[in-house]
Amino acid sequence: MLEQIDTKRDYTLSRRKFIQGAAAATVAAGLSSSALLAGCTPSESADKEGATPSNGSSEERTFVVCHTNCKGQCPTNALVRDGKIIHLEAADVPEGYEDIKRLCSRGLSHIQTLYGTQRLQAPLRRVGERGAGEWEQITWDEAIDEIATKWKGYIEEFGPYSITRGTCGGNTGMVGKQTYSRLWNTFGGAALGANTDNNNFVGMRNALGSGLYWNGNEFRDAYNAKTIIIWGYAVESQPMYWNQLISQKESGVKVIAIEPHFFLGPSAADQWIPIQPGTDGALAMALISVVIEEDLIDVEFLQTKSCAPFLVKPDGSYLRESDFGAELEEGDPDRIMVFDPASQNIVVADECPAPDLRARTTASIDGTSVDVTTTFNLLLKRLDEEGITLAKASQMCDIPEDVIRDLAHTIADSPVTFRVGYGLDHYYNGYYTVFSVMSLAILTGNIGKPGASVGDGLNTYGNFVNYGYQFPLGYGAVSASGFAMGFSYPTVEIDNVLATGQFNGVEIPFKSIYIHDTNYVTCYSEGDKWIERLNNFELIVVADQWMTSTAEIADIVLPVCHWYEMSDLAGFFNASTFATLSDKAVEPLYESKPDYEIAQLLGRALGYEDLFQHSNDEIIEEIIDSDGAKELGVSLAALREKHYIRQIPANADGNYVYGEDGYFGTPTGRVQFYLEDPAPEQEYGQDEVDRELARLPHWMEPNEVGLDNPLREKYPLQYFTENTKYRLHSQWDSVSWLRELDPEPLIKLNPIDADARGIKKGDVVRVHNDRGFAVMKADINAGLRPGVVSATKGWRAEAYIEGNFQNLTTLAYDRFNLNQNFYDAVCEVEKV
Amino acid sequence: MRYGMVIDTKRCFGCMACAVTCKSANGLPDDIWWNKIYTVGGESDDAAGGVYPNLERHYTPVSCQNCESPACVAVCPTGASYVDETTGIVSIDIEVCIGCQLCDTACPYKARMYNSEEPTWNHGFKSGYSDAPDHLPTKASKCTYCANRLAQGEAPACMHLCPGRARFFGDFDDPTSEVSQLIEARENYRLMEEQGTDPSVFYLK
Repeated sequence: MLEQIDTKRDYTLSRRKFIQGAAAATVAAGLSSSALLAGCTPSESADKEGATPSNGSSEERTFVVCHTNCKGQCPTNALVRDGKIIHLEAADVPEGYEDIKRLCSRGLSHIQTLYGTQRLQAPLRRVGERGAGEWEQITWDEAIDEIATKWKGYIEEFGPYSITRGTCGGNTGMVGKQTYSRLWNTFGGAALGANTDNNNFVGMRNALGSGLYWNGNEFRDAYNAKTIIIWGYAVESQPMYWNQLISQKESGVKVIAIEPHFFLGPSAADQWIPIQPGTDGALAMALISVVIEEDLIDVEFLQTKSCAPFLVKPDGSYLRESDFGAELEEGDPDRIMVFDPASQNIVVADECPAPDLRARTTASIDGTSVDVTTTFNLLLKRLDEEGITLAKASQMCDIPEDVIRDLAHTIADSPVTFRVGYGLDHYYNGYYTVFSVMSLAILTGNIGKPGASVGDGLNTYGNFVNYGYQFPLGYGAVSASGFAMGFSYPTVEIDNVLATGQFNGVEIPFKSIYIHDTNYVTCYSEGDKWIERLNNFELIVVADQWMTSTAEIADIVLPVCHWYEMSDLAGFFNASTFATLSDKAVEPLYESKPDYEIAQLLGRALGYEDLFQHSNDEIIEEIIDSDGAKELGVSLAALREKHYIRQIPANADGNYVYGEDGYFGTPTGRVQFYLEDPAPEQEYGQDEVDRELARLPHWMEPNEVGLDNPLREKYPLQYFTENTKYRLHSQWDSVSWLRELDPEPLIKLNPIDADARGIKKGDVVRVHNDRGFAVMKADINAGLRPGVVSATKGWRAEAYIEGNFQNLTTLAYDRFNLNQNFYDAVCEVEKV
Repeated sequence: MRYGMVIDTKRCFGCMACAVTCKSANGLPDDIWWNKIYTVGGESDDAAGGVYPNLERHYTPVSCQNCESPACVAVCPTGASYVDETTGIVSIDIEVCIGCQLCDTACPYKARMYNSEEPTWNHGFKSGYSDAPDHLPTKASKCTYCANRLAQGEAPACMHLCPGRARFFGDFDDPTSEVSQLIEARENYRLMEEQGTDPSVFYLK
């Protein structure tokens, strides 16, 4: 109980300074920074409109959707008065879906992303040194002409790969992104792949496959679970799911949180299992061992829905019909074989209801006797070789043995819904951790039925999006300049690519980079190093709504309009049950333009007049011009009228359950803890990959945070960067409402670590490792696991007394899976 | 009529949506918050209390407690702070308020915020519904229970979208109201009852 209202949070302190500080840019040619970057100043506004509300005028409501990549895709009413959005409300939702009516503090703050002082107003051209903040305002004609003229020259002299596109999840609307893709697929430019959260995506996909809603169940299906396990998932970063989670708990579902820190998930859970960070894979391996040793596996599920009974030849490939001379027509599946204990024969898997999981036998192939064994046996062998026993995992994870054993029994008591977040994914060993957790769920039959889910929910829109809009010259065609389309080089290899000028044997002349919907300097591992990296390009163009830390080093900055100033198909990559249209509520402010229009201007200037003529609505109509859309009743008019069109199938309970029809979107049609063809996500001749290792669950040490790592002597603290409810990555940075609540970046320490260093709340401290440092204020949180410090992520470099929080993270990655492993870093903290 | 709120501390997760929607709907100037969310646990926002791993953390949203015996009204020298006869809402007549700030000090809940200077809006204008209250310099201000929305039969803005479904609003004089039933059914407490203010906000345990 709150005994008294104290002043821990001083709501009366003026915190407006941060806005001026963040926007401080020296501007040449007599332009003040406020003229370029700001709307009207606060004092003007108060005089003009502040104290005299326009009483009597009514608000019109436009249906919009907050389409950021928190995955919420929250339906919103924009209240418009006198051409301005003046308030946002959670929109009404269809009957039966009341739990998706919500908006978080971010979604409510779009008024300030729209009208705040940091919004870019006009195209800018650098006039001083890169990054000096000296700009001149130019017209759109000048900006497009300069970019297109240079690009045409680069393409002619160096080929289209001389122009790189850099993008990520800053806007999950489809219209702008697909139009940029259309442009790149026309002239054939290169792309810089982001490599974010691949450990999750690839780990989940390899084990579970994917369907129309990726490979998780609709979230409300978790009411059917006996237990929900939150694992590596910061609930506070996705506030839209809390309501369902807590209601599911109230309805009697047990909630367990496996988390290092006492954040929101553990604080709401029935049971919190604190874990040593980076060891989740060891816990998963031990749980796999326990469920097998104690006979807790779901044998029938494994026999009929998983790879477990599949027979494997000595070379690792499956024993198939063709091995026995079956003559297959083209297009026929070459079916995998199992051992049928009833007939004592090797038979086709799909025709055997109860195959032997532990069969070891021989098959006669071309007259030669070949030893075959099941994937289940190979898993047992792997477990035996790696030796992550209950006792060993207990010590590694710092979890008592009986807690792990009880957890294994709880997980075996199906149905269990796992809510696996991106916490596991942010480590060097994250792919194997995620794959092992998926394998655990497979072994216990926790997938493919109501209440059982381990994957994630994401719209794949496979059912109605016509991706043809992105390929104006046709799928698989060569680009207009004769180069293969879709060439991409990975972020995690950037230094090698820059040093050698090539990737996977393909030459990349670094002439220009066009950056949209992403922010390298703030959001990518190694932070400020991106300034040097991007400096390899002769022409840096950044299109954004705000002057991000990445835009600051551009040669040309293009002002993009706000989401609510155009119409968009909301939420590719989000987890919505519905197809929704975020409609245009207000006109683009200042000289800003929608991304699709900028892409079209560039396309036309490059000489592709005919391909870049669509209106906003015409683009949407092209994207949903498909049979799937027609079947679902998705059309522009229907979306405008109904707002919500359910786009994924529903079972009798009205929920989508992945794999409930018995089919999983993997190469074998079954869920799999064994990979017949363990290929890295991107093949580029890397030689460090042990493909045999990647066939099965595996315990891999984290790169830096392992307690036995010698680096720990120098840097005894793990450097963790936490997502907070006040921003999403670097977005919502310039929102003064949220900055009044969360005014400055902090490094949080457990009292034990703080005391050991003589650090108190509010002290200025230096956080550092071999890669870099940041100076900021310290905060104390007893909920952090001792030995871990946490920096609140997403702040621009100017917010720090010195340095940049992202300078301490690393691009080190496991060659099997290309991923940015933000949490696998160590540091030391000292009082300044 | 006794308007009041029930807040379920098991469901509130400190997301700040109610605080921000209050700010937006009422067009609150920079640095003014009528609805504040306090972390119960450690010394800092969202910090846990206790010693790892024996920890505790929850949240207490605090706006005007709409007291039956409001300390702010008792100390107001001009009668600007008063209890509205029809709605029972502790209200401020800003025409009469002289900005002496006695009410700010008297309110044990720190629910009031004084507009010390010419109000400003970082985004350049006053947001919110067209009938949102005025914000004048050197005047007291506080949560009005969205009297403008109540007059139109709508619940206060903070009730509209609570992502945790933790907030309930109604008339405690009506025994059939949701709020009356909730405090009947669930163990609850009020803040600083020893102050004798008789607040109308109940927190479910």
